[in-house]
Amino acid sequence: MDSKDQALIAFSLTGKRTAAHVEPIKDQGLKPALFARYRNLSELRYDYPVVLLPTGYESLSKRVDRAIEVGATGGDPARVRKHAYQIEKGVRRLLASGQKGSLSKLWATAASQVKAKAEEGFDDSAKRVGQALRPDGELLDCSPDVARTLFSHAWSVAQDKKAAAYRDRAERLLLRLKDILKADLVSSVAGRTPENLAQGFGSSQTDMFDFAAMSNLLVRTTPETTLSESRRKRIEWLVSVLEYQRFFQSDRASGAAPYSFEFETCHKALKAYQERAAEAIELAKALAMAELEAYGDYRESVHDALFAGYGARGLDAQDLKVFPDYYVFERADRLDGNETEAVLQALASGVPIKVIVQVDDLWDPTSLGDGMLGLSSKTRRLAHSAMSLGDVFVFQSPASHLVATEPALSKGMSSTNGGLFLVYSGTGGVTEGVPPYLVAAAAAESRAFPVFSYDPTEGSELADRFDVAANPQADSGWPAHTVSFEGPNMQRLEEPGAFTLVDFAAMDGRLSDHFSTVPTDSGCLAPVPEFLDKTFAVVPDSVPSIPMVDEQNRFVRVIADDWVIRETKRCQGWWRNLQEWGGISNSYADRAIKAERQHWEAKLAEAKQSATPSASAAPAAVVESAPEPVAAEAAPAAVVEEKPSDDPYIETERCTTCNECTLLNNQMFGYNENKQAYIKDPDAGTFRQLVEAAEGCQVGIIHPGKPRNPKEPGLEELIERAKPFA
Amino acid sequence: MSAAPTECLLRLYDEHHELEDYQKGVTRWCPGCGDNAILTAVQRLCRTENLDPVKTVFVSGIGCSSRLPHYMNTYGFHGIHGRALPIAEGVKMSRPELTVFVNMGDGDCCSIGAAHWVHAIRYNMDLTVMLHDNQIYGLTKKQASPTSPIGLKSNTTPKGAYLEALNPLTVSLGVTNVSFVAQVVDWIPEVLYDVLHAAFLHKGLSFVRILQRCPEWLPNMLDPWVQDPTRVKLLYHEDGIKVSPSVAKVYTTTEEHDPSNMNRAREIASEVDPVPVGILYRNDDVPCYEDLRRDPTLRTPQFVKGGLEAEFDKFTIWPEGEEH
Ligand SMILES: Cc1ncc(C[n+]2csc(CCOP(=O)(O)OP(=O)(O)O)c2C)c(N)n1
Ligand code: SF4
Ligand code: SF4
Ligand SMILES: [Mg+2]
Repeated sequence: MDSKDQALIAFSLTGKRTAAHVEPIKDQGLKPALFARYRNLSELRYDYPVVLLPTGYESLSKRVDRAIEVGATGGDPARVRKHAYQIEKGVRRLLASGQKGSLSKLWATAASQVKAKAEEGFDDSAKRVGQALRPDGELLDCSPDVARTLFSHAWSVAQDKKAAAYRDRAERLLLRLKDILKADLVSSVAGRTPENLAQGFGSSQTDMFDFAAMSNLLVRTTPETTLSESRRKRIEWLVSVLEYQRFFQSDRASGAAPYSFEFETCHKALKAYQERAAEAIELAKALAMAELEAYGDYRESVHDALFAGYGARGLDAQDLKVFPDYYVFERADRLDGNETEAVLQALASGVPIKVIVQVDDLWDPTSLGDGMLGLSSKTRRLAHSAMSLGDVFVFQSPASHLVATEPALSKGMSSTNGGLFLVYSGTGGVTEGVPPYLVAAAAAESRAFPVFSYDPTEGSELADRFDVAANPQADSGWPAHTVSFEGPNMQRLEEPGAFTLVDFAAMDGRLSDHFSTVPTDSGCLAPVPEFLDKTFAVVPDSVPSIPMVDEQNRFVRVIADDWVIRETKRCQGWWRNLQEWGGISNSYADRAIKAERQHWEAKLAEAKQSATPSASAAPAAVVESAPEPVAAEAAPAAVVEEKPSDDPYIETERCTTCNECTLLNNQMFGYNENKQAYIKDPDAGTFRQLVEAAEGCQVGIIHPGKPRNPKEPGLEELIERAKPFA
Repeated sequence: MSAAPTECLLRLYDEHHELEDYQKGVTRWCPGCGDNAILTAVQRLCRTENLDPVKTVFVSGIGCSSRLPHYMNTYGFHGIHGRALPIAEGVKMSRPELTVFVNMGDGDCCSIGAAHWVHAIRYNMDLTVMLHDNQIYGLTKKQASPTSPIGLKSNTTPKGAYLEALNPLTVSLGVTNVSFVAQVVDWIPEVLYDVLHAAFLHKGLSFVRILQRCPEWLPNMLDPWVQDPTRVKLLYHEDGIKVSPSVAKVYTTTEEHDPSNMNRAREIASEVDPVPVGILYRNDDVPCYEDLRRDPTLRTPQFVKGGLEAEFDKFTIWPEGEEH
């Protein structure tokens, strides 16, 4: 091996620089080569800024694109698009310069500033697109605090929906309950006093009426049945609970202020939840009871007992889903053992709570206390524990991906389950000159902080519930990228590669000791993915290297030491797990497929051996099946003929309930459970009655049979009359 | 648990109803009156569907047939002559969750209430409408009705009715938006029940003309059809009603008729002998007026008052110079 290369390998194994061509990277201002083109973010159309909308949030660029589509229908689409993009750029610059405000406001400001340079039709473009940008909302740029604002906004959107649903429901129930009380009052003696009658009449011309006389008259005709005392009391109680609850804002002027649901710690949230539990149960119970009462379905005999014990074992998810969710925003660096325990406890206890944990730094001091940093496992452990609870929504994303993951985030926020949301801000490391947005994006790119969501309500397979699709190139180990840079002779060079944890680590000043720059033409350099796949017998013959660029955008070759590779391998293992959970590769299924394939191959081989040529060559005989005579299912079918009987009988199914026979003798003729006649007791009357009934039956379905009492007078004539009904 | 707790409670204690739960009082109809058969069929229908008596309404006009709500242990509205349909429509409009039945006589529906009948069919609200057609004014003691056959001698037509009878089936089938038309006779209880059941299940206005015997005033008029089963033609179909073996044994004249076939339905509607029995026409796709007009706004007292004030203001004459 070349002695120059030996120094590289020595660095990679020990982290010690033994030769001058292995130089420290500290203070060189190096950046991953991939970032070469992202120098000034405000010049780029990317996910930020976002517009906070009443229904969620959306990136400005997407919103503008859609508005252009609408605005362009008025004609001259190319001109409209060009101007709209100019204004959009203006909006970005305003935000970057620290201005704040709604989209409509900044749009107008930007338009007025761009205008000086603009051509004909500019005002029209600005107006058309501006109008199509509605509904309006606050603009939010990718600041270090962006996650806090976005989560809080998404939570508010979900709570507003809940509050609106509650208001609709309570209003409907209250209206009906009050109507019942009102109807009762109006038809009661109390409601018919002269004063009440006068009040119901209105303000003018009351002297034309004698309300006392009217009252006198009406009281005499008051219906007997009014509301029972117990029902009235119940309804009054329901009305008061629904009106005076403190979980939602209400219109009533008096009473205590509504509860707040935003807390600094899970500890405090849990405490508040416990303190309010009795009131929550009362409201849930009142809603359930009111629903029955308002529609006349409340039955004291069964429901009193049921509701007496309502909520004794706490409220279930269905009851809880009408209530606002508790909201806690935590910072990972302030999560001590106690508070971590409180987070998990809150999530485990079924409390409707949404916990947001923001991580600012992905590198933690290792627990060995050796002053070394390691890839933080705090969020990993939290996510794992929360997922193991089974019914908790778990979400993770760097701040850079919160726009792309908005649907999952919103779904989690409006889920009836508890939720844990982990977000990486990209602000905590030592990454000078790289905006937090890019640091966060690099965390997703390098699998240091992958994007995922776990929705316990989605399907029965883990792969249905766990989603990693929002990651860059989610189905590969590392995302592949071709980096382009300036070569030694100012020519443009391209190099295919991948973005890994090594690149992410190289961005952080605190880890610079683990990296060195080396001559670009060193012979033993291996791209990181290739290096990770290698196994070395004794001494490695290559070192892991990444492309970086300096402040002048010049290409630099950087190698990493063994510590970085160890962290990278751990990160790779975690990412593989996530991929498998997300169904991207499934070891169980892979094994099953392999076994099945072997099984079939064996069978095929067996079949080939035993097959006789004639059997395999002959085409399968096509059997022409004769069309079956299709008996129409609906067509009348034949029935077995009944024998004439000596006993009297009625073709009951044909009886029209006309009351003829039952009026004649209701002991002999009776109605069955379908109110159709049958012979209840043939001896409860005479043969004469049987014959008369048969003659009277308009549909002729009574059959008198033979006389049962041979001594009955006039039998001969009656037998003759009975003949047509045999 | 997937249903909300309230729903669970409701379902857990869902009452099962017996026929007796729907019965009330003793009918005052003449013995042998076909109205009895209709009453029994609807009571059975209520039991089968386990309709909640307090959420079921029978609306009628005036006539013998219109007494039916009195014998149902449900809510009822014995209305005024000819106006059963507008009342029923009002009930359905403001309380769409209620099940609404309508019972009318031939005088009620086809004479004084004819205009309401035509428009009710066009509005196609979800109502089960029964026309008790005894072809006479029963309650007022034998006056000719629009459906009385030509030549029928009655107290108003002593020399016999001069006009051909109005055919309620062809009229109904001619109205825009018609969605369900059937005919039955009161003396085949099983088919009467089956057709009423299908009418009940249909979403929209189902119009069932029931040939009903009035033994008091027209004792023998329908005898030829009652006594000769071949003069009843049963309409059966996969999508219509299916005929049971016991009925098939007696009634052998049949036709397979697809209720979606309007042209054939109109031909069948014109047949009088044998009398067609079954579902003539059904179309599930006609929208219901109450759905088209459904308004989620809660009718709170303030809302109603506001609306009324606005209307009244239109007619207010403001004193000169006064602000409004
Ligand atoms: C507005 C009005 N006009 C006339 C009457 C008188 N009236 C009562 S019942 C009836 C006709 C009843 O015949 P029908 O509707 O066929 O019912 P049926 O008794 O035959 O069942 C008439 C004209 C009335 N009650 N109200
Ligand atoms: S007379 Fe005939 S139809 Fe009437 S109730 Fe008796 S069996 Fe039934
Ligand atoms: S008069 Fe006719 S319709 Fe009226 S109850 Fe008597 S039989 Fe029935
Ligand atoms: Mg009549």
